[in-house]
Amino acid sequence: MDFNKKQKNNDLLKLIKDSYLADAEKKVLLAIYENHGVSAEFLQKFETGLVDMLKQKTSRAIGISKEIEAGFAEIRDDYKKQRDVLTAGLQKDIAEIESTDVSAKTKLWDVYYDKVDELQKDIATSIQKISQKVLIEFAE
Amino acid sequence: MAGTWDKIKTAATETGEKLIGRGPEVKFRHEAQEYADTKGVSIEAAQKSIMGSYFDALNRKRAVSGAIDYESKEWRAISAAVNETMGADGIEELKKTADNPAYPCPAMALSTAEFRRVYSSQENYYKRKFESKAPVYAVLSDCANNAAMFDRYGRDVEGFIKEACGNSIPAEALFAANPTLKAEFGKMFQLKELLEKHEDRFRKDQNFDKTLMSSEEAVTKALGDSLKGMFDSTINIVKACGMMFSGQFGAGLMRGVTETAKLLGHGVAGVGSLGYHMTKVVGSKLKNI
Repeated sequence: MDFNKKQKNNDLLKLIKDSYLADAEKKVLLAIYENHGVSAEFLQKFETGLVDMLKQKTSRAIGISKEIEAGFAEIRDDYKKQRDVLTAGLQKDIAEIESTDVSAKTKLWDVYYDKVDELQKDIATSIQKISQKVLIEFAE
Repeated sequence: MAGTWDKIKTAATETGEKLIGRGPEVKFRHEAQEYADTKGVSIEAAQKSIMGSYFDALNRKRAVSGAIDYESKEWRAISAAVNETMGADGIEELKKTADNPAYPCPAMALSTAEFRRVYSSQENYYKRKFESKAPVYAVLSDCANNAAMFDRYGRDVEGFIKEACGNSIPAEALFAANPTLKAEFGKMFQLKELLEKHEDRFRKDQNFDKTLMSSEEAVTKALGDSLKGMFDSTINIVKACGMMFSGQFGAGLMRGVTETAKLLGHGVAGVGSLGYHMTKVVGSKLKNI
């Protein structure tokens, strides 16, 4: 291949367009290619761009992975705390009724379990939010 | 001839009953009739004797497992006996009486040692069923109290039924004349339902916990897959360019790839498995270039 000769290599163009380089970088690379063909400058820029982006994304992934871990730990902790509060309230209420009144006790448990359902729905929403956030963040 | 026809009709009806889940009712009916025929007692006395034997079976099972199983066939048999002797609304009537403050049931006062024993039985019951997991103290404590009450009222009701086996008073009339015991019987049904509620809920909670854990794994995996996609893409670029430019391209890029893989493999514990995976992927791809 003649490095200084301007040429049309569709495979190479596709490789650049499909790569994970930022759009701005792709534009610069394509412009260099358009003007000078496959020059040494072009190859170096392509390589450097790919390596930089890979390092940047890897570093970002590591950060995001920590965010996921911390986010889920917070969700779990929050869930446990809120459920503990609900359970403490339930125990207090149960202590106030006649121990043989099974119907009254069952009603209290029903209310408690309904609240736990609500809490779990909130937790599911938080999980969705954190999942979307971190993955969108990585894709950007 | 009419007798034969009646038998066929009865058999057809009972087959239908079994199909809709009333097999235990059919079984009770047959056992009571057979008992009455064999012992030469009234059907009412036979029904109470069979019901008494069902309580024996429940107690034997409980002595082994330490708890009343969610799917207890023995308890289902007792329910069937109630349905057959007190009608379709029999259980509801018992529960209504249980809620009537005019017929208070004896309260339970467990000693610490008794409570610990029952609590431990409940805990073991759950651990056997749910991969060594059991509900929190509040739930187990309630299960223990419920099981103890169920046990106590069960003994009272069983004794009452067995005492009345010698007479021909129907079970329904017997309990109507003794509303406190009727209330205790009703409480047994309420307690069993509450125990089932706790178990249903625990199963749901277990699923929730698993979902929470798998969600975190799924998000981390999605992140890893995205990164892996970038590595694969890089390797493909190196291969394609290597072919196009005969080795003029790729050395620097491969250094970048291996450095990044090392960073993942050694630098961060949080994505340790991802790093290990990536290092392996890069390693295997390098061999193919």
